[in-house]
Amino acid sequence: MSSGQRPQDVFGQRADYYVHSQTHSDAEQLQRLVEMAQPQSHWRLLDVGAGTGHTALALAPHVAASVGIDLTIEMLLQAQKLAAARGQRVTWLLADAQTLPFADSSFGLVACRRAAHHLVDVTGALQEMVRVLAPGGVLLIDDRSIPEDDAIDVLMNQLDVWHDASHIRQYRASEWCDMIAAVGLRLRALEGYVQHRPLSSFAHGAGPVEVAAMRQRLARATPHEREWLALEQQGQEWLFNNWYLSLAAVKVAGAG
Amino acid sequence: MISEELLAILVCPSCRTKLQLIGEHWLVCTNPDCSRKYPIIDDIPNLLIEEGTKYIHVQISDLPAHPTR
Repeated sequence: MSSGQRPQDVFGQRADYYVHSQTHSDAEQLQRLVEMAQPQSHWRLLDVGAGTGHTALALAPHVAASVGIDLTIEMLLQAQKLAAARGQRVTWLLADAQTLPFADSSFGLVACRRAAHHLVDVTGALQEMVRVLAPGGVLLIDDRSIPEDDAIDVLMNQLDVWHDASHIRQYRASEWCDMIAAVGLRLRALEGYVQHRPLSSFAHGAGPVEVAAMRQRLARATPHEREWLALEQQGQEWLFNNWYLSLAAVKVAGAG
Repeated sequence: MISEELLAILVCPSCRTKLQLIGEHWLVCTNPDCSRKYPIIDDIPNLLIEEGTKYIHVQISDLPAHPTR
């Protein structure tokens, strides 16, 4: 862990922002996740790292019952309000992805969106998600990611540590393929996507020292980094590529 | 309120034994060697192990009727 700061400390202060964050509530991207999940109406859903509830609320209409867990109570209170405002029913629990409070094979669908990069032990958490997934069930992951390039790997992970001191690591597609195989799931679909985002949006919630560090780092980006990032400076604003990845993987009968 | 359907799949995050709903505000581990007790506050159960550990030595009859954060 970069500086020992806990996710619930960072996100307790940012819960209000995440309800309105455009990249996190992007309706098209959530709709694509619903399509990738191929949810079945009799399934129960678990959303791990539910935050303010966007993912659980997008998937909930397609399944029989939904549960969202998070480490941060402020996030769940926002999720509770959002669900009430939309007239949707989701059960919210404070729980840890590393020690899920559910019996084996309880869920047809386990989703984890924009949370894996915070997990101290991502493999341990994935094993837990597989444990609570029923045979034939689907694990749906969406997260920040990085291209298969060492320099961009280091740069993007450094920017994310400045953005959020509880950041652990954003993974390459190849790392996700290895992790999914290691926990015994069959990868059904994997899609990467890029958003060209302004630094002012990326850095929202970060302190002035961290924002200054990001600006300085972008200002001295190498030609190789500039090309990958499609880096643009517009006055005081920097725009650069952010990579994301979505995947769906199936728990085959007899696994996990 | 915790539904029967949810209660059926909930387990203690520490020992994975079934939880029992006591009143409206407590989920209690049914394993006597564990005895963790998890409060439900604002309709949100706190199922973090460290929270349940706080109440290991509190008798069920002594649990606060309306736990707060």
